[in-house]
Amino acid sequence: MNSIREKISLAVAATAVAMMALTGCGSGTASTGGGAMLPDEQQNLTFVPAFAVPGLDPTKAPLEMGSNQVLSNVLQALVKLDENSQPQPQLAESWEWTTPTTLTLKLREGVTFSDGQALSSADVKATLERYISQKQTLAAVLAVIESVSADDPTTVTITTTQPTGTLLGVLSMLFIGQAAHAQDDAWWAKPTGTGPFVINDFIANDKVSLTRNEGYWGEKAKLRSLTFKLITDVNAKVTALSNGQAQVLNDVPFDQVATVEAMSNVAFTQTEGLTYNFLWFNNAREPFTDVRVRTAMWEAVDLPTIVESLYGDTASVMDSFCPTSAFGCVAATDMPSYDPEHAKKLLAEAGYAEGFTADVIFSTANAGYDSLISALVSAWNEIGVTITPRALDGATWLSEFSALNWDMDVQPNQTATGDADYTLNRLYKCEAKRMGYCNPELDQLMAQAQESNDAQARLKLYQQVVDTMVKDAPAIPLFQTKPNVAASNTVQGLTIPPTEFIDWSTVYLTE
Amino acid sequence: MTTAPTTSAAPAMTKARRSRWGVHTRTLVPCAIIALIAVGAIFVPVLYGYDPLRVDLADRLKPPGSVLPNGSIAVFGTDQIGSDLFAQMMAGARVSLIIGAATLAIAGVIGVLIGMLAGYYGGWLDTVLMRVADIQLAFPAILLAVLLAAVLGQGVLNVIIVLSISNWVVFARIARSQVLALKDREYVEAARTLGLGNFHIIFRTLLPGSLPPILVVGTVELGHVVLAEAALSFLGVGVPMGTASLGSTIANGVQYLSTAWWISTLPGVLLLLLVLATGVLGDAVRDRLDPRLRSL
Repeated sequence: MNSIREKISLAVAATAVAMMALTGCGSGTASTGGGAMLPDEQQNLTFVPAFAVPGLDPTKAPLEMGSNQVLSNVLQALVKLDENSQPQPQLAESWEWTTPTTLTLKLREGVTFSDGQALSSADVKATLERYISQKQTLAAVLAVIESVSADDPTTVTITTTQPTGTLLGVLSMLFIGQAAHAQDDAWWAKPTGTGPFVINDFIANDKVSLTRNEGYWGEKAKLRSLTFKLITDVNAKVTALSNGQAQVLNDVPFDQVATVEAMSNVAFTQTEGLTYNFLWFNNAREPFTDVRVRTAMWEAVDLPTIVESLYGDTASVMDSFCPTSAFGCVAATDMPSYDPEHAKKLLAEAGYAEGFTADVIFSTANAGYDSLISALVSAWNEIGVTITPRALDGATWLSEFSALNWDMDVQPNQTATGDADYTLNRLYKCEAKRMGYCNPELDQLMAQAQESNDAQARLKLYQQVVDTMVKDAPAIPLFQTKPNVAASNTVQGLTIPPTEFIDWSTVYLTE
Repeated sequence: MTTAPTTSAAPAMTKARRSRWGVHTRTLVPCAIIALIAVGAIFVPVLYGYDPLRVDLADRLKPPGSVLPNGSIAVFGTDQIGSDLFAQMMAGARVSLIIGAATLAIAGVIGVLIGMLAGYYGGWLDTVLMRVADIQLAFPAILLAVLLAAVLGQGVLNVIIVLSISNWVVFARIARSQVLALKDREYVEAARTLGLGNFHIIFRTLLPGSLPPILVVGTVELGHVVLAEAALSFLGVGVPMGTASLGSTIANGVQYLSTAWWISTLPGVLLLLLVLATGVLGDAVRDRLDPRLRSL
């Protein structure tokens, strides 16, 4: 008995020493606090994301936040955005605009899918064509792509219908799969990628478990397994972190931040993000057809106070129509500020001295929105406008919203490409018909900005764009949120990019 | 130690007296609680000038007993949008009581009518009506209510309709069983022999005889209805935003349970008191009106 126990403890000690030696050699960077790296069989991490994962086919729902958070660890795009939203090499090693409408990309050599197959330009071509043929939420953005050709195994050429300076940002959202399965929906429902993790198990809107891609072409992931487990109840989420059921939480609401920060073994971090919240007026409906009414509604709300009270430092007031961390979202001059007296005057000029009644829709899927909407409604009430809030469940909200069956709408939005073009040109041009707003002059400015490849010229154009929009007030940019993460102190190497697509391959657990 | 009873009647008398005293307390205390809540529900929102859509962000999440900047004391604290919790709870109780009373009135009238007709006429009418009732009883009441509420949408009137639909069965069944038990009694026979019509027999002879158990059921059901309304509002299919409800106040406070316990807890306690009071009162009313029903 005794001897066996001794042998076992010796073996354990030896392994521990070996592991420490290995980690000491392997990672050059010093970990911030925490003990030694846990042995490989204990490198299992559970992450509670902020968004549900309804499906894993990126070509069917390219803008699904939850899915992209998972897929960005399984599949890879040609380029990825860095923390300044600038494209950096990923599957493409380098790229060049050979003509204003021709982009040639050189693929990285030695990249293999997790099943061992090598990546070739045919895979890129087939995947991009699948994205285009699915006609999903990115259709408008992909419309500029005229053709994709695979010139040789490592060269891909993309031809566009017009000069498109924003193409690389779009490419950063397209995950590359295998050419042989381009038509195979079942394959795409659980795709095989070139990323550091492999999908092991998936239950829609509940959990996704990933395991390490042992044959990864780059530096292998340190985690053995990674589980995305959705917990919608805020209290249950915080409890999961405190009892070790989960090691990392995304999106801790402001009112819970104090609780999380009070936990002794938890680190709370937040960064600038690309997610923001806006209010849209139905510009085609009375009385919001009148710009004075729209401006009055804007001036009636004391956004700095509302945002400060409800969201504290987890959100900030906006000075543009898209989040500042995105390229081209320059600060607008003369943003309307809180001035209820002037708002009343404007209403009177527009012929609504006695106020009016209207509604505002929002989805109950957005946690904490009832407080925000109450605050807005209360502020409008002060200038004599009666607004009826309509809290709708997700599906009802979507159908009402798409049918333009609302006077006002409040919702979150993301500038996914990290470029103003993606948000402004997609949502506010006449053709978009999203809220009955149309200003041909603005359309022209935005088209010019899209075509240009010159960053300085684009910034100048976007300055004109946002200044025009402030005058027209088709919408109110409410606030931009800072993505946050609460992680147990045993988690090392975790950073949150603005897109909130965390790269889990560098993360590991210590004692 | 056992002492032989001096007279065999004494313990029974004591017991009877005690139970009568019990019935008194059990009637008075719940009545007082319900009356207090009703008075509060009528006057407090008016006195406080409560407006469900008014937001005072500077005063949010204040604990019970806090002194607000305007000098008033938030007895029960404030909620996540800075609204006074006491006023909000009382406005919620007002909605609960209105919905409870209206639902009882509608479900009671419809249910009793259907039950009496089914019991009195029997035959195919009875079979059809009671099978419908059986089918409905096969569904859990709250599930049916959630389903209907999801279809009809939010609104006080809709909640009343939904709850009336899911509650008429109880009244129908109790009325029917009473009518079945009474319709062969001598006084009913006498009325029939005198040549009185069906209408007269149903409403003038059978209805008064059936009332006690219906009243008992009605009192108990009030609690159930109040609870059901809170459940619907908690789930977001009850009253709309902008109308106070104990259920939606509790739901709003759930995510603050660890930081601001009072938002969910206090309305929960009020709901508990209200439901408990109606339950105990129903029990006492039953003992008083019809002791034979004790096993009900």
